[in-house]
Amino acid sequence: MKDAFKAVFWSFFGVRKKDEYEADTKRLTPQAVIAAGLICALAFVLVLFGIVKLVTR
Amino acid sequence: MSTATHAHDTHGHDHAHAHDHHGPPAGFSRWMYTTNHKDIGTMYLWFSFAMFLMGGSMALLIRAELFQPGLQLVEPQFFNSLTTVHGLVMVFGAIMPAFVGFANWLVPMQIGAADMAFPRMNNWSFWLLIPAALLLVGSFFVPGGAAASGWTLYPPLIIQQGMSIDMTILAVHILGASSIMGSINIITTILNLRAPGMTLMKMPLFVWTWLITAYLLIAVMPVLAGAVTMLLTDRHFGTSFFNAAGGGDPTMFMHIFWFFGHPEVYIMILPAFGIVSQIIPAFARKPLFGYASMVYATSSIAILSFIVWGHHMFTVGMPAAGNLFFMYATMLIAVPTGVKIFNWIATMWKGSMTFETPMLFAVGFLCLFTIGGFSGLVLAITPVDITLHNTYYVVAHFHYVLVSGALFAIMAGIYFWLPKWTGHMYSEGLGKLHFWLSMIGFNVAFFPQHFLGLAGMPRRIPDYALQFTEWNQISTVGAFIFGFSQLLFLYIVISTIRGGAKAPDRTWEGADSLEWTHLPSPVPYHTFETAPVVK
Amino acid sequence: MAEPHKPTPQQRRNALLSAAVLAAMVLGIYAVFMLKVFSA
Ligand code: HEM
Ligand SMILES: [Cu+2]
Repeated sequence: MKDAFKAVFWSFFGVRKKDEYEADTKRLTPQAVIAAGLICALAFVLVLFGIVKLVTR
Repeated sequence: MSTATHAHDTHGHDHAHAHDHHGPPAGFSRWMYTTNHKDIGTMYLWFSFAMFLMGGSMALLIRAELFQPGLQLVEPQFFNSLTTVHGLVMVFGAIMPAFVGFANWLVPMQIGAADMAFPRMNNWSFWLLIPAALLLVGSFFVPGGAAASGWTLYPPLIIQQGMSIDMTILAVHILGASSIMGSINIITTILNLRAPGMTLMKMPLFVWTWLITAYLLIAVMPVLAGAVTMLLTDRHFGTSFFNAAGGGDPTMFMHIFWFFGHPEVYIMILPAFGIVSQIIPAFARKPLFGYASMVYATSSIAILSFIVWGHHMFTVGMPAAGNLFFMYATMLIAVPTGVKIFNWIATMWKGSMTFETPMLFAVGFLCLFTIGGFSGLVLAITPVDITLHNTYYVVAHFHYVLVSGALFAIMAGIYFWLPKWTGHMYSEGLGKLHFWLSMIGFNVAFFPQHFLGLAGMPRRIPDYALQFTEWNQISTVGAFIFGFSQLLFLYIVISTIRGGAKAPDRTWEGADSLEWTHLPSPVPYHTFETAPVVK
Repeated sequence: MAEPHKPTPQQRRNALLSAAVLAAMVLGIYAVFMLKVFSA
C-alpha cells in the first residue's frame, strides 16, 4: 500500500522514473492505486484547506 | 505501446476474408440501423462538422456585428442568443461528438476488438443527437428567440425567458443521455474486449485518455442533468431553488453548474491529449516519452478537476478562504498539465521529425494550448480575475484551449487517420495550406482579445466603447479567415474520400498502434473477427 | 462469415456487469442529488 501512495504522489506531479514505474506495474493492483488516489485527493484538499486557514488567520 | 509492433501479423487474414463479408447495406437504412462502430464513428464526425459550421456561422455573425462599435446587424437580444447557442452548439454539438466519433472509430481497432461492447446502444447514442440538435437550433424560431442566458444557463435570465429555454433544457437532457450511453459503451469496451495480451498499460494513450474521459462523463453528466432539472422545476413547477424572490439562491446554480463545468472542460481536452500523444511520436519516430507518466498525470488531472470549480466564481462573493482554496487548487492542477507539455517536447527531442499536416496541427496545438494554459494561470489568480472576469480576456483564454487546443487536435487526428479510414492520401499541399490559414486566422482573431480584455472590454455585449475598435476589427478579419478556411478543410476531406493516391497500410512509418500494424488501408468493414494476439 | 465476430460469452457477461455498475453509478448520482434537493 505504501508503494501505491508513492506512485500516486508522483502522478500528482506527473512524472515517474522508468524502473520504478516498471516495479509499480508488478507490485500494484488497480484497486490499490484507485484507493490511494482517492485518499490522496482527500489529503490534498485537507492540506490546501489547512494552508488557507493558516493564511487567512 | 511499442510492443504492439511485434505483435503477430494478421494482415493476410483480413485480406483473405474481405471478399466473403457482407458489405454494408446500401442507402439510408445502412446509416439508420447501423451497429458498425466505423459507420457510427463516421456519422458522429459528420454530425460534428455540420454543427461546427452551424456554430461557426453564428460566430461570424457575432464578429461581423463587433466589427464596428454601435449596432449594425443584429438586435441585442438576438446577439445574446447568438453567443449562447454558439457556445452550446460548439461544446455539445461540435467538440464532444467529434471526440466520440474518434472513439468509435479507434477504440475497437486500437485494442483489437471487433466492435463496441453494445453496438445497438451505440446507434441510439448517435441518433439521439439529431433531435437534440434540432431543438437547439430550432429554438431560434420560437416566440422570444433562442436562449440568451449564455451557454452557462445562469438564472435568473434562464428562468425568465420563453419556451426556447425549455427546448434548450430538453436538448441538454438528451445530449447528456447520449453522452452517458456513449461513455458506458466506451468503458465496457475498453475494460472487457481487449485482445489477448493487450494489457491496460499497453493500450495506446488515446484509449487511456478516453477511458478516463468516459469516467468523468459518468460522474458529471448526472450533475448537469440535475441542474437543468432544477431549472425546469423552477420554471414550471413552483420550486425556487435559484429564484431569490422565492428564497432561492442563484449562486447555488453556479456552484452546481461549474462542478459539472470544470470537469467538462477536461472532458473536451483529455481526448485531444490522447490524439496528440499518438501523432507526435509517429512523426518524431520515437516512442512517447514517459508513457506511464502520461497515464498517471491524466488520471490525476481528472481527479483534481473536481476541486477547482470555484475559479469561475471569484467575483460572486465567496469567503476569502474559499477564493484562496480555489486559487491554490487551480494553480496546482496546472502542474500535471505542464508535465504533459514537457513530455511531448521530450518526445520530439532529437527525434527525426517531419512535418506533414497532422504533425503541423499537433505542434500548433502544443504551442497554442500552452498559451491558453498560461492565460488560465493568470485568471486563476483571484485578485487578477476580479478585474478580468467577464472580459474578453476570458474569451481569449478559452478559445486558445478549445479551438487551438481541442479543435486543432481534432483536425490533426482527421488528417492522421483519414488515409486509414478512406484508403486515400489527402492532398498534402492543401492540408498545409489549411493549417497555415487556420493558424494565422485563429491567432489574428483571438490574440487581440487578450488586449481587449485587459483594456476592459466586457464579453457578450453587442456594442463597445470607441477605443476598442481597432483590435475588434482585426479580430473580425482573423475570424473570417479562420472560418472560411474550414471550407477548404471540407473540400480536402470530401476529395480524399472520393479518390486520391492509394494510402499504404502503415501510412506513417512511425505509427505503431494496431490499426496501422495489423489492418489494411482502407480498413475493411469488419475488423479483428479473430482477435489479434499482442505480445 | 457474414456476422461480425461476437465477444465470447465470458466477455459478454463481464461487459453486461460493467455496464450495470456504470448505469447504477449514473442513476445513483442523479437520484441522490435529486432526493437531496427535492426533499428539503
Ligand atoms: C492550465 C489549465 C487551466 C487553468 C489554470 C484555467 C483557469 C481558468 C479560469 C480561472 C477561468 C475563469 C475565468 C473567469 O471566468 O473569470 C477559466 C475559464 C474557462 N476555461 Fe480555463 N483553465 C485551464 C484550462 C482550460 C482548458 C483545458 C479548457 C478547455 C478545454 C478550459 C476552458 C475554459 C472555459 C470554457 C472557460 C470559460 C467559461 C465561461 O465563463 O464561459 N480551460 N479557466
Ligand atoms: Cu474551470
